[in-house]
Parts: sequence; C-alpha cells; structure tokens
Amino acid sequence: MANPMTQSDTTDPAAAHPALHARSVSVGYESRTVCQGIDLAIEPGTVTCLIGPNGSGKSTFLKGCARLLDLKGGEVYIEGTAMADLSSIEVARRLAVLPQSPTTPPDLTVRELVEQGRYPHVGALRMLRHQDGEAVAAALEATGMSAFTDRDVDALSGGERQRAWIALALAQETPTLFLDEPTTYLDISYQLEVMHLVQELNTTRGITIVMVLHDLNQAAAYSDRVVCLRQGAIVADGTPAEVLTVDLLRDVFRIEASVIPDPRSGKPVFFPHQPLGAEPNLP
Amino acid sequence: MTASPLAPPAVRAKARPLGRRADARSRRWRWFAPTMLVAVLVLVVVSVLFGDNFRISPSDLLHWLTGQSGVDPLAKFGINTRLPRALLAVLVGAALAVAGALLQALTRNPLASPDIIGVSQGVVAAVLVFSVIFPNMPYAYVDWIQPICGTVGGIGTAAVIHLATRKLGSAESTQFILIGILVGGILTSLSSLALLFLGSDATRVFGFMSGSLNLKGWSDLRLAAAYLVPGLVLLVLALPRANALQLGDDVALGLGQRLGRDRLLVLGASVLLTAGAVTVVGALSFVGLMAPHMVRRMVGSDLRRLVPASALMGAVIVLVADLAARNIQPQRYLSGLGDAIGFAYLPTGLYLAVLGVPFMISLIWRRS
Amino acid sequence: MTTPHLPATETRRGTGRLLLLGAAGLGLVLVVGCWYLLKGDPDISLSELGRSLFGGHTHDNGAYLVREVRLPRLLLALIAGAALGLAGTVLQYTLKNPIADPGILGMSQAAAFVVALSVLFPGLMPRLVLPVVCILAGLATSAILVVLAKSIRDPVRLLLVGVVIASLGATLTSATIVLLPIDRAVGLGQFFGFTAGTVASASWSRIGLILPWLVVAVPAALLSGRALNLLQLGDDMAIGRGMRVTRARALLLTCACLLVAPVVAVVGPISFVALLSPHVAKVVLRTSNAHLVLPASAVVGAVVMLLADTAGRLLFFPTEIPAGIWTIVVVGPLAVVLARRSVGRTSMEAS
Repeated sequence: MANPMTQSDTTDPAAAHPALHARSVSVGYESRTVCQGIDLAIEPGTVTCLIGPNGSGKSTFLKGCARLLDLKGGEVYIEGTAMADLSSIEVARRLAVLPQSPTTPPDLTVRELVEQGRYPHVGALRMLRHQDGEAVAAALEATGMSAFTDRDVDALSGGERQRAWIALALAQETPTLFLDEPTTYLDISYQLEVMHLVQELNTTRGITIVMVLHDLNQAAAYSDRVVCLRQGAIVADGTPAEVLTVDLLRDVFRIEASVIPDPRSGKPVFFPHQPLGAEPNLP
Repeated sequence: MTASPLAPPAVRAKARPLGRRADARSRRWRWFAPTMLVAVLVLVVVSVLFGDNFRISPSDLLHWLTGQSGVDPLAKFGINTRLPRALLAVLVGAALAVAGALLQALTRNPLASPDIIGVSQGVVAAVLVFSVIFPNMPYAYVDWIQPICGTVGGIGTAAVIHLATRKLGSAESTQFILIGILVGGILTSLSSLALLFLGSDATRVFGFMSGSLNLKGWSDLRLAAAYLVPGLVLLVLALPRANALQLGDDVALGLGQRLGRDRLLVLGASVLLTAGAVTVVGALSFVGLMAPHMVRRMVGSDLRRLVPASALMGAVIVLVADLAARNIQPQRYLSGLGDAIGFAYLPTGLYLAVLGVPFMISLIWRRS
Repeated sequence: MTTPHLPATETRRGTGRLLLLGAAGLGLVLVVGCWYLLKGDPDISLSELGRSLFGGHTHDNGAYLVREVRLPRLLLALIAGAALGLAGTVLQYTLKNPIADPGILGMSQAAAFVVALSVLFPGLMPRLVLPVVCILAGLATSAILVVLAKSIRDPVRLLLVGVVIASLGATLTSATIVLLPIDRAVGLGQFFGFTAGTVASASWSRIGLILPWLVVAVPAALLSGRALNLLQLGDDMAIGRGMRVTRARALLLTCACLLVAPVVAVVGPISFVALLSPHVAKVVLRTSNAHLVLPASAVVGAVVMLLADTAGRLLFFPTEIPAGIWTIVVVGPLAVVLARRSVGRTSMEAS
C-alpha cells in the first residue's frame, strides 16, 4: 500500500510540509475514545477521502483534525505548524470545514451566509460591517452561486444549499478544505453537482481536499487517495484502485461484491452482490 | 487532479465586486429603518400629548422643547411626567427586543426570550426579595442598591441555567430553554411569595411583576440609561459572534470562534440588557419575543440588521402598550360592576400580555 | 424508551420496589402524621390522641383540636399531594415533557384567577360552585393544549403555549387585584396567603368539596397506565397501535384538570409537587413504566405535601409558614436537579 509522504528535504519550502499531518492522534467523545493513535499525512493539492463503516471513526477523526473536537492524544500539524501553537482564528485561516448537515437559520440570504466566512481574516469588530470584498464575490462565482446571491438559503434546493455552504468555506480563503459527508441526504444529481464542484476546486485552485464520504463509488471516482478506517484505526491507505478491492469490501464492509473499472474514467467501481452478516470475532 | 500546491487562492476569478446592494432586502431596509424611526418619534410625541385625562397642546410642547418661557404650568407638569416615561418606554423596549434577538441567535430557537428563560423573573425576584429583607431602607439607598440587586439577580439566574445545562450534551439549546422555563417558574413563585410580606404595597408589587411604567420619571430614565451602557458595550462585541454562532457550533468553531467564551459573551450581553431594563420597570414580557419575529421577515436573520430593527420595533411595541395603559381607564368600561373597581390604571405589562399571548400562540402554531 | 411490554422480571422488580415505596411511604406518613397531630399549640398527649381518634364522643379541647382542625388538615395535605403527584405523571407523559406541571402549563393560574375573582368579589359565586368554575377554567387551558397538540409535535413548543397561558393567567390575577378599591383590600391578606398555597384553612367541609371530583379522577388516572405508556412512544407509534391520540389526550388532560383544579380551589396553587413526584418515583422505581410510576408518584406527592406542611407548621413554631413556600423553595430546586437528566433526553428526541 503506497503511503505518499513527502520527504522533508526538497528544495521548495512550501512543499516540504504536508498540508495536514496527524501524529498519533486519539480522539473521541467524553466517555469513549473512538480513534486511537492514528498517523496520517495529507499532501498539499490532493484529494483524500476517508471511508469506513458507521462507527469507524472517520467523521470523528476529521473533526479532531479540524479541532472541532478536543484531541485525547497526539498532535496535528497544519502546514508544518502544530495546531496547538495556533489560535483558533489562525487555524481558521488555513483550514475551512464544512460540517455534516449544517442547519441554516431562516431568512438568511446566500450573501449574508457567505460573508460569515470572512470572520477569521477580518475579526469580530470589522464583521459588523457588510463584507463586500472580492473574496466573497469570488467564492460565490467559484461555486456558481452568483445568481443566487440574494436568495434565502433555505429556499434553495439541496444542491444549491450545499454549494452555498461551500462558498462560505471558500470565502475563508484557505488552502485546505475539509468536508464531512457533503453528499449525504442529497438527491443524486445534487450529489454529483457537489462532487464536481469539489473536484474543480482542487484542479483549478489547488485546494487540498479531505472529505468523509459514505458512497464508496463516489470516493473512488473523485479522490486521489482513499483512506479506509475501521473501529478507529486505518486499515487501508492508497489509490482508489489499491484500496477498493474485493477483499476490503468483504472484510471491512461485509459485502460480497465485484470491482470493475469504470468504462469512462478507468476508476474502480464496485457492484454489491450480497451481505455477509456480522464478522464472527472482532478484536 | 494532483495540481501543484499553490499558495492560498492565487487564482481569483475575475468576479465583479459586489456593488451597492440592489437586492430586495437592502432596498427594503432603506425605507424600513427610517419609517420605524419616524414611528417611534411620532409615538413619543403622541404619548406626551395624550393621557391622564388632559391633553397638552402641540404648541406647548414645542415651546417647552425650544426652551421658551410662558408655557402653561399644567402642560409643563404633564410634559415632565410623560416625556421621561415615553423615552423610558423606548429604551426599555429596545433593550428587551435586542436581548430577545440575541437569545434567539444563541439558542438557535425562535422561541427564546429573556422572560421565557427566566432572566426577567430573576431580576424581579431579586428586587422583591431585597425589599422584603430590608423593608425600611431610605429611598436614597433604594435608588442605587435596587438596580444592583436586580442585575445580580439576572446574572445569577443566567449563570444557574448555564451551569445546569452546560454538560448535558450537544442539543444544548432546547435544554437551555426547558431549564430556563423551570427556573423562571420557581422565581415567579418566589416573587409572589413576596406579596405575603409586602401585601400593603400590592399594587406596586404586581405592577413590578408584570412590568409597569407608572410614576417613572427623569431619574428612572437616567438610571435605565446608565445600566444599559454595559449591555450596549457587550452588544457590540457579541453581535458578530452571535451571527456566527447561529450557524451552528461546528461552523462557528470552524470560523475560529471560541465557543465557550463567545457564548458567554452573547448571553452576558442579553442578560445585561434585560437586567438594565427590568430592574427599572419590571418584567415586561413578550417584547423580546415579538419584536424580532415581527421584523425578521422584513430584514432577515442577519443580526447586523435584525438587532437595530428589533430595537426599533421593541420601542414601538412598548410605546403602544404604554399609550394604552395610560389612556384606558378600566373603571369607565367596567362601570357595570358599580364601585367594585378602584381608580387605577392597569400596568403596561398587562396590555403587552393581551397583545402577546395570541401573537405567541399563533406563532408557535404556525411554525410547526 | 421503555415499551409497554416489559420483560416479566423487570415488571416484577418494579412492582417489588413499588410495594417497598408504598410501605415506606405509609410508615413515614404514620410516624410524621402522628407527630403532626400531637404537636402544635397546644401539644396534646398520646393518650388524648388515641381517645380522640378512637374513643368516641369526647368533648374536650384536645379531641376537638385533633378531629376538627389537625386531622382534616393532615388528610387534606395527603390527598392534595397525592392528586398533584398523579396529575404530574399524567401531564408529563401525555405531553412528553419532563417539566410539565400544572403551574407551568397555566392550569393552576387559571384556577387561581377564578379564586381571586371569588375572594375579591364575594358575592360572585357560592362556595359549592367554586371548584366547578375552577375546573372549567383549567379545562379551557387544557382545551387549547389539546387542540394545538395535534399540529405541534415538538414537546418544547407545546410547553411554551402553556407558559404563555400561565403568564396571561398571572397577569389577569394581578390586574384584578390592582383594580380593587382600597376598602375591599381587607380580603387581600388572606388571598396572598392563599396564593402561596396552604392547607391551613382545612376543614371537613372543604375536603368534602373536592372529594367527589377526586373520587372520579384518581381511579381514572391510576388506570391510564397503558395510554400513558403508548403516548410516550410518540404519536405515530401510538396511532399505529390503534390509539385515538387526540381523544386520549383530551381525556387525560381533563383527568389532570379534575385532579388539579379542585385542589387549587381549596388549597391554592401549590407549585412543583406535581413536577417533582414523577421524577422521584422514576428514580426510586428505576423504571418509566406508567403503571408503576402512577401510584408511586401519588405516594411521593402525598409524602412531600405532608412534609411541607409539617415543616411549615412546626419548624419555626409558633410562626406558621404556608406549605407552598416550602414547595417553592425546596421542591423547586430539587425538581431542577432531577429534571436535568430527562431534559437532556427530551431535546435529543425533539431535535
């Protein structure tokens, strides 16, 4: 299994550090630790996907790396600097997060929502004024939401709404973007809309993407690297073709399936055949 | 897909910067805000001219304002009683409305307001308990100790509710409201107990419990203004943070907010604004709930517009209720009961309740 | 959530604990009750007590004191407490809200407003009619809740309707008093004592006033276990099991009204006993099964009222403090502590 970790002796200082590096990260909730000692380095400009069955800790791990949850152990380095050494606002200037199923207050326009993304750059007091700068406009344009600027967010379709939230994250102007299950609960066409947008953000702007996805085929189609978790630990890490194998689907996801290459893109696509029931003895 | 790692967006699409807002909401705001301001001014003037069985002529008011002599003494007396009361109504209405808007953003629940989560009741209970324990304080002391008592009561109540709900899990906002309702109920009962000891002063106590601007003058206005200053300061700090908080905890964290500290800031602003108002006029209910709701459709949930709009609407609501309170003599309408009715004006809070109850029920009903 | 069909062992254990609670409650009532009857102004001896209760027609002061003053007061406290405890369980289960209480929902305030009118305008209604009008007032508030419960699924919102009604009721009572002419203010002191909630003016005739209503309401409440358990599962589940939800809710709230309003008419608005009792019962029984919680909350309510009135009458002897003060000051905060946990769970379900 390839583990794309750059050596730290290249000439370009910017490329020397991974966009994000989790060292021995343990994270969980008050009563229980979900992830134990995970090591993961994310290369800048890549699209990485975290997959795994429910309860595997993928969302928890993502939240821990995004400092949405306090770490129980280990450190996270963002662009080479330890997160613990940065204030929350400083982190927000380097990392934007789109959480799972965000709720919108009613009567809020897209513009007003996206403006909030300027908070880490502008600070609380200046947020009292309306943010009319380029960043907000650029974010709206990039997500194709310029036409919806003055519409209420909760009057939009699922896909449009998600794109508005992505615009909020973009307005933060960060080199890295985390997305926690961005396509769950969306209609299929909206799911593809969102995934295409994410892909475009990576190819045209070089934004590093780390996302948690439920749909394995989407994970295969839209990422450079897939990391599979089970019970709070990494069990597979590599390109989609390397990770999404019949064996992994059998062992981790408990299904009997076939994997074939997509006729258009060559990426692996899997076809489930039947469930295998719970594993007899789990450690 | 593995493009070379670029620095933070080197490529910014050539987007046209958002110009002067031509959107519907900004257009509405441009006439809404001045209209409300005018409405407040008109209501203040009307409140001064009408009431208490005698009218003041506009010319008298004009003369008084421009400092000319020769104003009819009765008119001067009337203005000096009514004008501070009207201005107090503006201050108090605005403060409670803003407090409500902040709480609704903080709890992400449109049904939150300082009187529902018990803060208003805490202020009232503190003041009443103080009056019971120290019944014979000289008036000079009461003037400045009482507001301090009330503020402490309000802060204490908010602290109790905050501490009680802090560790209960992620659905914090609903718990906050439920515990607030319970604590509010306890404090209301506590206040009614004060009647046992202050029975002779029943009218004043009841007035304070429902909220009344009776007999409030220039000193009360100054007091309220002074006590609202800290609230205003916190408001400026809290407003942008509340805007982010209402998007959700995870989003707020992602934007760099410090949840614990910022929540306390917003709560503190709301409590101080409430305490400053309630400690002077009593627990006026429903303003904090009604005002933001009435304006939200017009100006949106963004607090940068919602807060000033709510303030204006709150002022209007309390002015209208107070106008009714001062001009309606129940004895005239209930004369059927003979001399059973005394010569009293009903507290402003009652008219607010009469307005507020059907409003709130329809609100709760519609939103489900 | 506990289903109506518990495994046999759980029900047996719960029943066992219920019996234990009942026995403990009975014991407590007997012990404290005796002390209650003995102490006072003046104290009476144990033999005098025995004679007054069982002796037949003795006409000395001790017997009179016991029979006509203290015993009815003791019984009224127990009855009122039990009725309130039952009402609390019924309300909390029917409205799926752990802080439902007749005081928070406006039932007590509506009834108290009626009493205010009758006290301050003495000719207004004869004494017998008073509980009836109180019940009608309480039913009015319940009716609003029942109608709105059809469209409002969120328990928090429904509670807020009650909160609003409660504040309206309180405001109306204030208005009535404020409008009172000064010469009428004589009855005011008594009324304020009533507002705090007290069994002090108990008498056999007063007990007789509320008994007919409770004779109907208490068995109805005790038998409503199945309905309450079903409603806890949620309206959809209950309908799925063949229950006519709106009708059931209307009947249950009426039952709660019949339990609360007469009590308020005679004793005043006692706060928080109704709220606390189901929670204590659930903690002791370690189950949420309504069949068991109902009788348990009746026991708890009765004990709490007895303790409150005992404390009120004897703790700061010779000053008498209305029982209502103790319920506000002690029971209220206790309720906050106990309700915290359930509040957390409610909001998770509602959101």
